[in-house]
Amino acid sequence: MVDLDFILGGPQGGGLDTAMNILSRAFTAANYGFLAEREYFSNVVGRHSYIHARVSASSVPRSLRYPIRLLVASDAETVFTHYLDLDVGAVVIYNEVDSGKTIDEIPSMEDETKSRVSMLLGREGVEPRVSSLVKHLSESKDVTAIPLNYQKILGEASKIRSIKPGTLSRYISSVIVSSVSVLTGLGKQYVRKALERVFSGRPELVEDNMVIFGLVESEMRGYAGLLKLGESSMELGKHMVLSGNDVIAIGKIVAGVRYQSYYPITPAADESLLLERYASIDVEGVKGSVVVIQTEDEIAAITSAIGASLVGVRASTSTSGPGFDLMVEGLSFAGMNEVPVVITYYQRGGPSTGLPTRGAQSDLLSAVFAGHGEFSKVVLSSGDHLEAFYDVVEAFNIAERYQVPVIHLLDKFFANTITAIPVPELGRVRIERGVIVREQLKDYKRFSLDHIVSPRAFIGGPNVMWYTGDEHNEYGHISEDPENRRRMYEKRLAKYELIKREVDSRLKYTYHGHERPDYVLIGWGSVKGVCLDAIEELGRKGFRVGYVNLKMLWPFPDEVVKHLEDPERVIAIEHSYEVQVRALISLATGVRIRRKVAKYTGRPITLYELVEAVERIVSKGDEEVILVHGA
Amino acid sequence: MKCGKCVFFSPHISFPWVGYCPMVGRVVGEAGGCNSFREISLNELLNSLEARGCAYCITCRLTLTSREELEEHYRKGHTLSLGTAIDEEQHLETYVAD
Repeated sequence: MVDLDFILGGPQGGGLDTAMNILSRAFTAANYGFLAEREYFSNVVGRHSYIHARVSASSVPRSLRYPIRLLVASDAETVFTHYLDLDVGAVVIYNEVDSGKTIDEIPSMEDETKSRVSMLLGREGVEPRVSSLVKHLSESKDVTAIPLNYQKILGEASKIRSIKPGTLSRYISSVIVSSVSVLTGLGKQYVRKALERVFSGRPELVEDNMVIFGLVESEMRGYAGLLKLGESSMELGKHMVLSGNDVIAIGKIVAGVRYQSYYPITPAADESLLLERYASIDVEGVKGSVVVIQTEDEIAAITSAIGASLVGVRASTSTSGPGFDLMVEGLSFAGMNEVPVVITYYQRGGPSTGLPTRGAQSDLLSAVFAGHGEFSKVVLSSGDHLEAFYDVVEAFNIAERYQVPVIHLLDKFFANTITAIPVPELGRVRIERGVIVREQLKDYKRFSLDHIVSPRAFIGGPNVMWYTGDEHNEYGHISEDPENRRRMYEKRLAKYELIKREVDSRLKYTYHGHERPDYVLIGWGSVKGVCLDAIEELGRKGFRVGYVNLKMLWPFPDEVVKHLEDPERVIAIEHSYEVQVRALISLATGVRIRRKVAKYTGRPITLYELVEAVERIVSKGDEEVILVHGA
Repeated sequence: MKCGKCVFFSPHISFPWVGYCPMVGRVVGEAGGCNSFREISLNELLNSLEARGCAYCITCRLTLTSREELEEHYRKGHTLSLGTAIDEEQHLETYVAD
């Protein structure tokens, strides 16, 4: 087996996150490519949560796929929720204690889901009980159902290693990890290595978990290697295993961020929590610090970041939709006062609280058009983790070089996806702080009209300046003079042309796939991976397809137009209802794209549903396809 | 005689089929049992409710905070316990969500 698609499911807080962390490190240590995304409920603890993952012996996966070949269920709800995702000949590992459980005995399951699953099972004549369902799966889909006695394993482990009740979730994760390892033939040494990494400084936990590994191995002896992965053909080299949140935090440290503010919000907060861990940095004797402040709300988050920027440090804040809404007044202030500040914006399902722990790309137009009045701002996006690392640095470079707010528009799928990337080349990183005045000038004008981007001095330095939300003159004093107003207005907006002219085209968009495609997919952000895999898959089916990965969403790069010459052969892909990028392209270029593939269930676009959607559009002439796969 | 019905058993909040027993001083499965077994009684549950402010319904995964609630779950034959085992690491398994 070259690739394995699998799901680990259970109650939120029940060890899945650790299982994902351990497996990602174990598989990558053995040179397998690994990609996983976590889906979880907004109530945080107890409700159904799952990791959808893909491991490959031939490449680093870029997309998730259904059907799956393996389902590891640490509770009954997982079996009922995901049984439809199973491939023919798949494997289900479930907790033996759940065998007799009926769907009505699962208190954490939502009524709508219970009712839908019960109806589907009823149509098949299957009693909604775990034992009946796995029997049905065995008979109808040749599924191998493996009951694993979690109780017995933990009880035995407890006798051997006196497991502490206060760390039980850590051991459940081990049962999951061990069962996947036994089935795939992943060597014990890689599991140990991953445990040592994840439980760094806690050797007793590593040993406890290795005891569990042995017990699971013994229980599953008859199934060892049932889903054996072939030896990896890759050499991953020096790599990092991280989530989207992690890579942004690391990128900010490398970019030289010295102030980060946030108000806790899903799915942004984990970035700030990681930054807090590195608040004090010591690299080969060179010391620095990142001040990370949890403010009282998002208004304080953006305004304090603006303040930090005005005194001269690279400053950013991080949020998602509801928080960004609160930041909009501050964003306008930054636009009026030409303040370089970066807002990392992780989209989630809206409106209002919406689906707070699920993904979406439906805030594109909100981000681009946020703020009252007109001012220059830049909206960037990143298609994958490695791209995002370099983009973070560039976001600050653009912000400071042009003295504009920059919104780095990401999403929950990106934030909660874990993968391996090669260690970034720091030689590729450049820090551009723009025109800065450090010496005292006789007549310093912060908003000098001699330049589109005026030399920037910092508060606390030798020069004096004034900042106000009002229109101002070159010094920063309030002025309502119409001629001054016209000139300041034009100065601020002239930056758009400058940015469009000067920013490297590789930061504006990238093109992938066939050089002379019959069809072009266009999207931005986290859909990149699935689109790249889709054009390859479509290529194998005889279609010539390309993908435009938009990165600079605003100001919109004119260069993209050359890929949109025949709009009838362009298909826009987005996690939203409207597929808003079409409106943006239409506004900026006049090109009207009709065809779209949309998904707004809050679950990520998976490979085969996208391939099928594109085929429907290409072969049957459908204008739009709405995707729905995923529990 | 099953641990799950025993007064000493503190189930894990997410995986109630496993829990902690202070009598043997270790993690046990709900299906286990030993000589210290004593079936939990309504009186003990009510006393716990009075002293600690809550009892726990394993069947519904629900913290019970009133006498009426407790009696209703008891009447329905639900598996009840005095409380749950505290998993001190569970916060490390959860994302910040708001």
